Amino acid sequence: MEKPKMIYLNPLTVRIWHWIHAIGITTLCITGAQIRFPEYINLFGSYRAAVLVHDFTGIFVCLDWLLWFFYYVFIDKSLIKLYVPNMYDLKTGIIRQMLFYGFNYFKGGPNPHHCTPDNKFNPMQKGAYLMIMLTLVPIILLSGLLLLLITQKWMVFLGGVKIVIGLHFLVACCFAAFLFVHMYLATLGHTFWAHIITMITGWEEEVEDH
Amino acid sequence: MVLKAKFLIICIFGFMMLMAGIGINSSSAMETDDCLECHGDLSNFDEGDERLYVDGTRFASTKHAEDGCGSCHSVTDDHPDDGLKPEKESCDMCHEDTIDELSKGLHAGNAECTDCHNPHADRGLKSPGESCGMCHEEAVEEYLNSPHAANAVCSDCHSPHTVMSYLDTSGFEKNKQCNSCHEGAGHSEWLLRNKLHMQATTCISCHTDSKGIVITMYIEKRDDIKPDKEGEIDLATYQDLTQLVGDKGVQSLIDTNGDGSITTAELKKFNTNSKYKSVGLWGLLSTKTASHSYGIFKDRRDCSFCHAAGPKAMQTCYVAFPNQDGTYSRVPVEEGAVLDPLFATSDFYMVGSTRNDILSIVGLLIIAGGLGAACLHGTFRILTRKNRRKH
Repeated sequence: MEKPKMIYLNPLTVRIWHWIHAIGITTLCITGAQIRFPEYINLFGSYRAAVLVHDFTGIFVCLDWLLWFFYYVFIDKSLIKLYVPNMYDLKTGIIRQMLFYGFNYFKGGPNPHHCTPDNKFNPMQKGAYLMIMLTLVPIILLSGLLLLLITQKWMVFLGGVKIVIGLHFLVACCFAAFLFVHMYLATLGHTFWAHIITMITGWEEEVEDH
Repeated sequence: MVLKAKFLIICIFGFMMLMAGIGINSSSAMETDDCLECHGDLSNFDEGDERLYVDGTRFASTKHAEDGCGSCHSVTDDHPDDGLKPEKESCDMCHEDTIDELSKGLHAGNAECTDCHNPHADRGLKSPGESCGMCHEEAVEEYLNSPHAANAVCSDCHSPHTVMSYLDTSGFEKNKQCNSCHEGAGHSEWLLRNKLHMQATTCISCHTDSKGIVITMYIEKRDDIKPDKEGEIDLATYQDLTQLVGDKGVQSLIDTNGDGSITTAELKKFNTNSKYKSVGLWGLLSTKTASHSYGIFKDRRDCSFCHAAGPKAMQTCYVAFPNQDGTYSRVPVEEGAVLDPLFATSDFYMVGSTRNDILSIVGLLIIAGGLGAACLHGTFRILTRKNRRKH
């Protein structure tokens, strides 16, 4: 039997970054839910424990985001190439990908996007990750830091602390929603575990379309 | 003849002066020992007249003993047979400043010196039950049942000579009273953001079972906040605010229409007025009424005691304006102003206070959208799995 062709898609730095982010965001969502609704959710024993875990995890995720940013901008220098949709993506790529997920996937049609180390994300992923990593993550991390270091006058220019906390909450809800979608889409590889294994080992089996 | 008449007048005047002098002497002729002969023996007094008894030993060690009974009480040598009621004691002869102080406080007209002090005993402050308890029976009873009673009496926290009502003093002043004994109280071992909590809460909000949490906004000076002073609350005085508003009255700073209540719009106007940049509002969690049941309540260490209540607990708010005499006057603020997301009370926030139904529903819809999309796609995925097997 012929050995499948493997491609090295996710270097160690990317995998470390990804799993820290995955665990961090999940923890932040759960602790954040307990902080906001303590009378309904108590997964961390006490409110104080939830706040402490939320604070430390938040700082950790901030550092992890910086790792991602510096890796892709200064080391791999592939941030724009990987994350910013090109003209093809915008004109046809996104529509083709949407049609695949919405119709062709169910009919058994091939995925229009083939992963390569230089083109890891399909056009929909590019748009979503660009929005998440360069807009939503900075918003939630910065608002979280402001709330962590809350002192008078800091928030006024942003419209007041209540705007900051409201924004923090709504973006957190977006992340919770993203987690469900992301985890589900991770199972849409050529096998149920294919994408998940890639994110653990770094290697992905190249699938030939017949 | 004229000379004789003049001599006679002088003699008569002299005799009258002599008699008057004897009269004066006779009223103070009774010495302390003479007084104590009767007043130092409790058995001389019928039931109900015990107040006339003076413990000679305790009196001897008082400062008042040096002056003697006659310095405060005037009686004749024939006392008590003369049937005259002795003059009342007059503390203001010696304690003028204290009386002056008292006349400005709430006790003026409501309590006499001897209601609280026993001038015939060393360290003559009566016990809380005998003094304060005469009028403040409920508060004293509550206090005496609290663990705090073993360590402090009423006057350790309340100065009876300058007594002010609960609402007349700022929450920060109340906290200062507590800090005079409990400075550096160790909350940091369990309380997160210790300093912020201490600056935004009155001690009695947690350490008594006082009912009804409200937010009281105080006006603080902000123009002199330096990096090393960040977080320190420097309240603006009446004089500071008068400089800003002139003779219109300090309340006009926020209550612009002068109707005795503050609307959310008036708060916004104040917060966004560049003329008032040097001052700002600082919110303090306080209570509607003060209980004297001091103690450490375990449920207060559960953060959700305050933070789970959500917006309902945040509805009632006041702005406390300083008065010329150093007291404060609270002006009610429109219900729910604290929850206004923008400029009403932009610096005040309590975790949980932005928890409103609309935001929660929007948040839930976002999460449900993500989960629903995954579930929907997953359902079609299962239903169409045969199509993919063909390929």
